[in-house]
Amino acid sequence: MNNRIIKILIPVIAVIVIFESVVLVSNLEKSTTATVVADVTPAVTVTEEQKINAFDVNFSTDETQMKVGKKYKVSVNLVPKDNYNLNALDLYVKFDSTMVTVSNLVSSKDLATPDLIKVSDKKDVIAMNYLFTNKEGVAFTKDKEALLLTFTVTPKATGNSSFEISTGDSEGDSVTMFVDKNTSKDLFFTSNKLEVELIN
Amino acid sequence: MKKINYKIILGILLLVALVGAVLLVQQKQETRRGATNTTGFIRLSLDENSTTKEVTADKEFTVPLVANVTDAGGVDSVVAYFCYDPTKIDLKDTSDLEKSFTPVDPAQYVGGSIKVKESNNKCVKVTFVSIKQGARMGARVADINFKTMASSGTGTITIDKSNSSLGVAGQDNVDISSVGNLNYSISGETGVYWVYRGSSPCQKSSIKYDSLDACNAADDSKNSCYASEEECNAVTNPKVYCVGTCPAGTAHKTDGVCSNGGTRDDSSCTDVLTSYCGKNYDYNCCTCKTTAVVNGVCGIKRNTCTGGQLDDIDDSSTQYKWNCVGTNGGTTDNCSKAMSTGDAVLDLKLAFAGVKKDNAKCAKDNWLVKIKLVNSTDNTVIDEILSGYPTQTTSVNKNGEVIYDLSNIMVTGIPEAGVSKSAFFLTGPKHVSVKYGENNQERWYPDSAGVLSLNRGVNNYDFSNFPLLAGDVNGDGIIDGRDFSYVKEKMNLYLPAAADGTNVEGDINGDCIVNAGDIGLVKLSLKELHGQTY
Repeated sequence: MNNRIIKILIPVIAVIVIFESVVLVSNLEKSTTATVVADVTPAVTVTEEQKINAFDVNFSTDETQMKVGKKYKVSVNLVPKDNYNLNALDLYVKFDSTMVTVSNLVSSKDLATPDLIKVSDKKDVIAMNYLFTNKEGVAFTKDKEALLLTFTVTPKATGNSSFEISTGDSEGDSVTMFVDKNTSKDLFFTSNKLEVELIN
Repeated sequence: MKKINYKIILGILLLVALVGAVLLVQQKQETRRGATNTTGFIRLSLDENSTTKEVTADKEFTVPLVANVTDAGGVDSVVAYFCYDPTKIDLKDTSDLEKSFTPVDPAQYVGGSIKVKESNNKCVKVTFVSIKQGARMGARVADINFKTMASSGTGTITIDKSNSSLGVAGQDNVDISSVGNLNYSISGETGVYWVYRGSSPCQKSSIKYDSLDACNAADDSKNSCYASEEECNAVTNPKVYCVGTCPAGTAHKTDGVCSNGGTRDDSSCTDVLTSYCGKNYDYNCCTCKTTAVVNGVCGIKRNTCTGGQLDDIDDSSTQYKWNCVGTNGGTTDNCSKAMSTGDAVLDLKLAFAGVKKDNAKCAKDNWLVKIKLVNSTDNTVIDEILSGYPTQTTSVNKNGEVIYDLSNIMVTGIPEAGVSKSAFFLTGPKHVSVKYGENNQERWYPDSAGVLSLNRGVNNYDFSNFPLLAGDVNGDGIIDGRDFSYVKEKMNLYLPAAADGTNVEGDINGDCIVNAGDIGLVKLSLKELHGQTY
């Protein structure tokens, strides 16, 4: 008798567990992809030749209105437009240190430990560099979004502020680049700009 | 029934599954505990802390084979697999294995084998089984009887744990938790003589003789035996082993031939006989004169010669002066070059990051360095098209990197009063521009204005303790991931080392090959730059 009940219950519960998993995972996806997508602009100006867009670099966060003193999580994601193997990845995020504090940088668990990951104390920039020493570099799959970085933003003044992928500053530093294994050249990419309103 | 919350059912079932899993895991662990409960050891010494044995050459010695379980209950069988270097020691009797082992009662030796492994180690597998019902062997299972060869030396008898085993009745398996090897040291080499067979150097006799006379008397054409290698060589070839080989350009007085094709100048040899090795030998080295006469000829640039040897002499107030001295009786050319108005000369010492003295075969005199001079008082460029190929010196900086001389760099337009504050920007062929603002600089120059003075005449500055930062292999003026990728892909080609003096793409430490050392240098440079920038 007991066996019969178990034999009936196990498949039923198994289906329920699968259903629950699907529901939970899809809910999780929804919460993390509440992305604020703003004007997508090419990060590098096309001049001499038609460049192929290899990556989209996107910011995402749950809130575009942020209260002063509270902490908010912001993610930087990479969407490959084709399959690529990278030998190096340099990511620089510009922000305004008079308006926000950036802390708690966490790199992707899918990549190796970064060679550099820090909030600069000399420039208003988050710097994260990877040098992939394994022979084939790191593979990025077409259309498979990859999380690169998350960080915590704590507003410290009211007003508007933004986060941008840096493509170089006046001194020629902080150039975001994705270096292709096959050519040892950086691949073209586009990025969005995250604009947030800082309120009391 | 439909209204029953499925989460409760799920929870109950998950709980049941969890309990079941825990029970299963516990059961599994119990099983494993039984399997690994008994552990034991095998070693080659009575005391586990005494693993070294002093022995004498050409003598027999005994090594105890000790095996037991950790609770000291004894074992019923032992299979010991041990290896050693047969050129130093061997079993006492290799033709009859049993004679090389002395089992301790109640153990009984029952079999074994010897084989030579690929590593030239000889390995022995020996088995002991207790033959008394219910009586296990004591810890000291047997004594192994070895003999040493005639040579002194050191070595180790190692137990191969994976090929050894312990048996205890009622236990499926006894884990050998530890093995104890034995290190031995052989002293007192005997019976070995050195033999001269008509050509030097002397060779060690392959046969061990009882005496020097026995060696000399042996009917094998080895008619010159000596007690030591030194004596043998000194007596049979004193020219080489007592006097030494004459350096290039010279030859031994008695029978030396000049390798440079010249004539030996016997008048240059001293008359005093050398006295080495306890005897006198007339084998002094004499100068070899070449017949070719070389006249000194001045070069176009300051302090250069196209013929003869350079002799730098003091400059006058208006002229650079030097001599080119002829050789083999050749003439000497007196050279001078007028100082132009505003001329200055730079003589710099520098180093390249990671280019070490012992491996800088491809970073000899072929790495171009560019120089930009900036007047720090008004931030104007004095000159930015200067360049030169530094030459290696025999000196090294504090990091062990080769120091290079970059000399004779002519700068024009220097005012009579000189430039009191200037900064130099140096860029190597695979290096980013580095600012030098002070002499003997050892760090990133922190100030905007340099304090180097630049005067007419010669300006000597030493920048060798802050080497040029390596890694800009694509020459775009910065070091970044693209340079790293370039070097990495060059490394992945696994090309063999290039010939000395070759400019190898991606080789930034100058050792003629692109490998992990170059990758490491790029990473080090990036770390250094990141530290400065961020």
